[in-house]
Amino acid sequence: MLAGLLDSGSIQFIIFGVMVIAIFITLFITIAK
Amino acid sequence: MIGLQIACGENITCPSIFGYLTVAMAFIIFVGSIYLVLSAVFGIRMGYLVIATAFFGWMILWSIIWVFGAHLGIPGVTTPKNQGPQGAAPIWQPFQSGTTVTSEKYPVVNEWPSSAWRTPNTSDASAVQEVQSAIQELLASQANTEHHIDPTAFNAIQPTDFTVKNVQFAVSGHTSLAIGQAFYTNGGPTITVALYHDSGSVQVYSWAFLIVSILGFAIHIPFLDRAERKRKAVLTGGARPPWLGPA
Repeated sequence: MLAGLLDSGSIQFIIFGVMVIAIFITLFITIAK
Repeated sequence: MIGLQIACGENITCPSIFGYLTVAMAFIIFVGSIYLVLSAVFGIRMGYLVIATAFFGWMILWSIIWVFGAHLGIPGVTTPKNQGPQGAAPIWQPFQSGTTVTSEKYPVVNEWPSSAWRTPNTSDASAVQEVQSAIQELLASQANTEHHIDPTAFNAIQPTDFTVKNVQFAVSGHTSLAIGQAFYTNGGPTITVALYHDSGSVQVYSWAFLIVSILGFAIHIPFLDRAERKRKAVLTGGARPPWLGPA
């Protein structure tokens, strides 16, 4: 079920967006230290 | 458990989680390293604004190529559209099958065969093939279900065990319809199958990426502009630091 969900385009689109935001926040915190 | 989905080497498939990890790691390495250098020069806030603006600008270029393709006007040198993430592909969807077919939604189906239905010409060759394989797959899966056969088993009834003939097309409103007749090659009744064409949503993610990228770009530009003006004031305004001799 997870595989099917991860491979449907709308979920991939959302995961990509969340990844971009999450990594920018992580980088910001990491570099600020 | 995530199934074997993506190609990750010659004749090897990997779970799709590898793809997700690759994208995430690529983002950390390629975007993160540039961000690190930019933040050393511009400071962490303006560094972020520069890298985010650049990222969304790059995504705009990328998704424009996905939406429209890249055509340089040189024969043979072109990037077709829809090379990026794709939505559902267009398909011929069977909606009725049996010795006769009827439909309330598409009344033209009840009239078959009549002058409303046209026999395919040479330009319909690929559509005819798609209709034929859609009918074959439908009948094979129905036959396997009826006989309780696993479709992957060696004794499964294959789509190619059915012969499709008399494919005809019609239009009902904005929907393209098709009807074909098929029979099991080793004998059996002729089954008539009616299908409608679902044009799918191939371009939806190309457009989604383009719109989100333009929004991201538009949101960051004013902040970058403000940060740059402020920085210029720091660089050009105020007094020159005192000369303390060679360091």
